[in-house]
Amino acid sequence: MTDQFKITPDLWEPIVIEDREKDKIVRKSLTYWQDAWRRLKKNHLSMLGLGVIFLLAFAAIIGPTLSPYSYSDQDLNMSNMPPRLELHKLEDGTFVHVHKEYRLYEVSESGEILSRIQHTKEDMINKTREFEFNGNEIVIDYKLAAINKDVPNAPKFTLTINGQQNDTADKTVWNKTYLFGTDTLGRDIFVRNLFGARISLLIALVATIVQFFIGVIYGGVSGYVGGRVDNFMMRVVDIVDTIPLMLYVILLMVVLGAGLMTIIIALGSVYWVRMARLVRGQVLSIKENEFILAARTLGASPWRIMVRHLIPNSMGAIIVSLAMMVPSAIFTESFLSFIGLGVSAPQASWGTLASDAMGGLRTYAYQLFVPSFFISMTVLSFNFLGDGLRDALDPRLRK
Amino acid sequence: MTEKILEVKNMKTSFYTHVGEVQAVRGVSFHLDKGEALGIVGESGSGKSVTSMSVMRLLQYPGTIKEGEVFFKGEDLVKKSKAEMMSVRGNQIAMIFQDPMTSLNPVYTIGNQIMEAVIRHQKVSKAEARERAIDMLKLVGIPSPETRVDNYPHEFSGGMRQRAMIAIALSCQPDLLIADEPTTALDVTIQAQILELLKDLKKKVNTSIILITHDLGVVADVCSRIIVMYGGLIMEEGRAEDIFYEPLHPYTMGLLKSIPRLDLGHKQRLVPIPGSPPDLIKPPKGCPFAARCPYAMKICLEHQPGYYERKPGHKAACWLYHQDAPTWELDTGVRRVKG
Amino acid sequence: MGKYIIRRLISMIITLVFVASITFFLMHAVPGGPFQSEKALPEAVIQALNEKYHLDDPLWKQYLDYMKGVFTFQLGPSFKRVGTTVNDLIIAGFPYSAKLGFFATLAIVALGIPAGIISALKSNKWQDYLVTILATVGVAVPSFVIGALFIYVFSSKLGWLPSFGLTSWKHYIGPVIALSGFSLAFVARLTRSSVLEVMQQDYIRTARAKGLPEIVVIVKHALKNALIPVVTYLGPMIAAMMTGSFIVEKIFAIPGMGKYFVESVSSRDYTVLMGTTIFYAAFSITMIFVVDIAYGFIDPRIKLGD
Repeated sequence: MTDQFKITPDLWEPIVIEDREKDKIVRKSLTYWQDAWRRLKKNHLSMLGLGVIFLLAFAAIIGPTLSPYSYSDQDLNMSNMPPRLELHKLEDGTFVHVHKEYRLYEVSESGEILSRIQHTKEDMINKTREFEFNGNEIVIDYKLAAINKDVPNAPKFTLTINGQQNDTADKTVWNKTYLFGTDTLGRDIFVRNLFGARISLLIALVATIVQFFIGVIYGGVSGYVGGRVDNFMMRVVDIVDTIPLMLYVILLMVVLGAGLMTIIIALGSVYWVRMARLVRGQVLSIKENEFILAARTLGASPWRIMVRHLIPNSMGAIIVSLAMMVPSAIFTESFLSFIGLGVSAPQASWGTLASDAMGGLRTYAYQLFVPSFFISMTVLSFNFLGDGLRDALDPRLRK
Repeated sequence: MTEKILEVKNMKTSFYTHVGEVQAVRGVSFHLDKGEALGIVGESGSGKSVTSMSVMRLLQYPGTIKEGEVFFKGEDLVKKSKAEMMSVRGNQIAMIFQDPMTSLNPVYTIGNQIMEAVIRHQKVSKAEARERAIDMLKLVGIPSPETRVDNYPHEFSGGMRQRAMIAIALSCQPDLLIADEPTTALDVTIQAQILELLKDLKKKVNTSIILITHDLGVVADVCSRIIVMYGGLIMEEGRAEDIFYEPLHPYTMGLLKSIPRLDLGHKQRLVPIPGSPPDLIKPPKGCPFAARCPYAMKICLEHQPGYYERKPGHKAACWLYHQDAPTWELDTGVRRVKG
Repeated sequence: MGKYIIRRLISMIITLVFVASITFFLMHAVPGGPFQSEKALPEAVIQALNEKYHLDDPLWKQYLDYMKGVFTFQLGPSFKRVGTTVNDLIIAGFPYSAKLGFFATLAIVALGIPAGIISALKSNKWQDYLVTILATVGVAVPSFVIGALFIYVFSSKLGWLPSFGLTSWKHYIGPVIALSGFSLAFVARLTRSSVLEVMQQDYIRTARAKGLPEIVVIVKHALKNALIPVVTYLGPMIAAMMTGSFIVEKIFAIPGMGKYFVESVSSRDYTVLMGTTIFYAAFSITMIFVVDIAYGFIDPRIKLGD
């Protein structure tokens, strides 16, 4: 072979060990949790999920106290106010909004609701309402409502200001007084949803923790004791697992009566099965390790072995499953609320808010959108976090 | 007599991953004669398996053959279409893999998995294919093949599964059999049986064999010629005796020192090779082994050595054999039994 | 196989007894009697009612009578709908729920599984991104939101589709989408990850090394293995489709079993609540049993029993 370069004698010098060591890649050794955190941080979606969860929790705790409204403040004059206000110009600087229930509001140009204008005359037969405001005469004629009842997007009223018809809105602005509008009792939807976040997240978290404890104890005992006990305990789990559990949550709620505590008890006491299975499987495989034998030889009590060795070593799998349980608890809670087994008014959870909004879906769809958005966003965030955790905590994927 | 059945010329294979191009094989040339058994030896990451997967064109995304030619019976496999390759694979070139526990599909019977290839390549009826499957199982030493043919993989032991894998591979009488670490996942006694079987079959069916392994001890028995790979390159090539008794490359010497040998009693010391294989995303400029080589010189870090042929068919890529190189006291790792 | 089926059958019966007992005792643990409603009934009327429904029998006798009823499919009279038995309600409602559940299951199997397969095979291409995004959103949106959105958009705003009842094929679209949405997304995700994992298996490489065309490798070697976890999920899912539709039935005002179930919750009609719960549970357990048997045919490793 011909050399493409000139070989100088110094090239033949042996190299010293230090030179070689230089090439070595130095990497800090990380503990399991540090490594998991490092990998979780790299997963953008998971971090986004985590961020959203923190933000939501923060808003749920702080938010309601910052608002001028409380979750239970009613104002029937302000019921069902939409988040977007269609404004009709009355005179320079004065705008009115015609509510879907044919009420009239004075609204500033930027969207602050200033007052409700009471009608001076109502003609039920001709379906008109007359108003007087600052010397202007305003007539709302809602005959069209009955005619266009089944026609989507058709106008439902005509508006006459000082004898001049003004049907199309001059301007559409965001509601500055009630960010997401109000519900049928005139309660601020945004505040109620933030308050609902408290209840929903509380139910989800506490129910998950209850499931965690029951599951860990049941699965841990079953796996650790083993033999016949394990066999029997797992038969019970098999049986419980084939039952549609939602039904039993409902039955429990019927027995215990609806309420915050009972939802938590019902959810926690029924959905522990999966956790029990998982923990048992983990315990069974970890139990065979030498360090457990060593601990036992040293006279550690079963309880100590369980708490100090078995559970911490199963923690990765448990955490992933916990993150995945929160969304299902949120779902179940909303389903329960939907069939009238949620927290009782004036308290609210996202589920009860969505359920309350169903009645007026056709007219006031925004009332449903807000809690739906919160539910979906929370579930999505927890799913992202759970996916990320699964990848980060899986020892097989460790690099 | 020396008809070349396979000739690989300057093959380069890379994996385009999100962290960069992993240059798994960086220019490999070798050939295989008809009826010959060639061993490819190297530690994990040396590129030996990628070489065989490249020959079979079995690389999955993101792996691609960057350049080079693979002549099989005079035709360049790299240029063949996917469909043409399909009629080569399993038919003319067959392959067996490392882990027999996972290499068989758990939901089909052993017989089904043998017949599949036969029916595909040889256009025979189902009944004939089944006969063939039973014959093949008999050939690889499975007892009562008539009933075993309907068993599922989970009903076979590890050694029997590897036999079944060999039966699948040989079912179409291939000209070339590539065995990628066929014994690594097996118990030592089973390993010996499988190697014995391979040797035996080589005689019986006269296929050429490429045996890929990280274990020099495995190739010693079966192969007449050996290639030693490291860092995606061939380090040394020669007849088995040359490799074992007159190794040229310090890496080969290192490998020899790390095999336990029963014939030496308690006096031997197993010497591991210090350090770890090079990062093939940023392959070293010079000799890939330089960072771990006890005889490394400045030139080794800077420039990749060419091949120096010591005697016909025995060559090594190492600067030690350059005419200007200083002479070293080499610990070759060769330990002949005294007397 | 026979032994396995018998063992599963026995455990199924045990589960049913267990379910019926829990239901019975839970319902008898409700504070106050079933007739303690808003309006206080005269003592004599309660007495008469208790007698009529054998509520003054000792508990064990009521229990035995009830269990006998469960196994002879006589779930008793409704407390609140005079002259109607629980059986009547189930016969009236179940066909609607079953039809809805059937179409939802069909949608899941016919759309979710192929979507997952395509997504896995076109990994990191637009098809994959599309399926992944839809599936990710799908598992985060509760069924009542899908249903409500559907009504809002297609019935209220566009006026294309009816919003309640179940009389023409158009009526099915909304409820089926709402009912199947979550599971469809879930099955697509599950199939995708399962196919991706199976495609990495050594036996796929073996199949390719045999010179099989890629389509055979995928259809014969990959899919059968990849669908095993999906089939495992389908059992409970089919049951949930047929039984868990009460939310969807409520939104779309479908006179299915779910409607009676929800009504019995709010009106505290304990016999109907008990009867429908047990029926739901029995159906669900049976479906899981059937799918488990089917599973035994797909995966030969199950054959030997445990």
